[in-house]
Amino acid sequence: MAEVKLFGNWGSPFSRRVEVALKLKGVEYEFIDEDVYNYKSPLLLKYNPVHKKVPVLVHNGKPICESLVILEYVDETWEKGPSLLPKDPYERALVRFWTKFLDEKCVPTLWKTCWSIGEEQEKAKEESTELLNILEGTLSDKKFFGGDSIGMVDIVANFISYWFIILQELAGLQVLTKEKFPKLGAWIDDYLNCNIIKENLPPKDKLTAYFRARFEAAAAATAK
Amino acid sequence: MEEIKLLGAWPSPYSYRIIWALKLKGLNYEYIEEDLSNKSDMLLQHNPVHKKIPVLIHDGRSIAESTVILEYIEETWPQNPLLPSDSHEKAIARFWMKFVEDKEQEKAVEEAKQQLKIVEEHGLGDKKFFCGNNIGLTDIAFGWMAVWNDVIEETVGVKIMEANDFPRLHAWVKNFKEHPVLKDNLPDRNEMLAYYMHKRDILLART
Repeated sequence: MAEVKLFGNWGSPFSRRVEVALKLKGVEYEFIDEDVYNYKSPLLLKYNPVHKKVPVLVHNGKPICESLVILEYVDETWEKGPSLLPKDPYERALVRFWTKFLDEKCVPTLWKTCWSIGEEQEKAKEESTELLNILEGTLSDKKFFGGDSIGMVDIVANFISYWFIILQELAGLQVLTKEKFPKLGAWIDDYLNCNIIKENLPPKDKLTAYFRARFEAAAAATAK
Repeated sequence: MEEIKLLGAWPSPYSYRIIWALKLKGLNYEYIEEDLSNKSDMLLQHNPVHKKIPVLIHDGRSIAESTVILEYIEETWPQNPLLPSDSHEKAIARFWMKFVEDKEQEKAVEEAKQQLKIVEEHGLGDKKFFCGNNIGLTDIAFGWMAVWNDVIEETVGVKIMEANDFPRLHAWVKNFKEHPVLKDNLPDRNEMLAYYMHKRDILLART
């Protein structure tokens, strides 16, 4: 019986964050792909009764839910390998501030930008641009948010580097471009070039096809 | 000697989270009340991203976002631990801290009741406090439920957290308010009621 199990989903950026963290730490785990939109397995419901979502890490039979909580748990539990968070409390506070910013502000706003229409979309686009400007400023002259190598903030920012790029193209938008955000553009290239990241992304054509189908379904629903 | 300043605003529950943590750790600090309708240069300088309180300034370095500040306090001053030492229990504490952050967006009464049921059964269970017998960061994060909830209910005229429906939460509220350190650091109920009633009146006058 595997000591470490991860209930996740092939296309979920939240799930992929945890996979990257486990791989960085050299932790062996069993991956259980949950088809969350269509069916939630009894085990998932048992391990995450509150939210019924992935990812859920189960370590020695004990579940941990919420990707940011899981990342901190992974960092504390497996001390071998690179640290996901710095050791200094102030530096850790900065990491937590930015991961919260990414999860609570950036991801929902960027997501909404792609799925909304008309005035709502215009407003979301403006907000997205403001948020991306803040991130651009935070990167400053660093290669990664974590400095010379990727850290927890980079892992949590995964959505921006890959999922959002695919979504904005499907939505016919150009919110995040290298011209508007040179530092973020460079960060995306460097980030996706890291072996640990590029080997743990959902296949581009599969993800694109999946999102395209959802766009078409959404368009059909509003057309009625 | 280290210098701790807290930028806060009465009667913000987020502000109080930090006050409670600092008091539980036995720390001296300077409290600076912010007028949120006229934000100070200090606030804008120390929290340029969100421009919100609370902000903790420790030896000149600023930390924003209440749950981030709580974790910082816990890691910087390890006395009177407010998080379990066991990694899994710590993860559960953090899970519920996140839950209450997301939960604050609940507006509909039925949804709010469902969320409270989840907290009552899965979060609190049979424990005195969220992580066991001792008060911790999760209780602090849920503090609004102990102190603000019935004031808001009275202001709005809708009772959501009935004692019969939520006996464990009500027991927790009592334990929270009677905690030796916290009981002397609760916002005055009458003042709060006046404050929220006034806000409600302004809102109603506008519609």
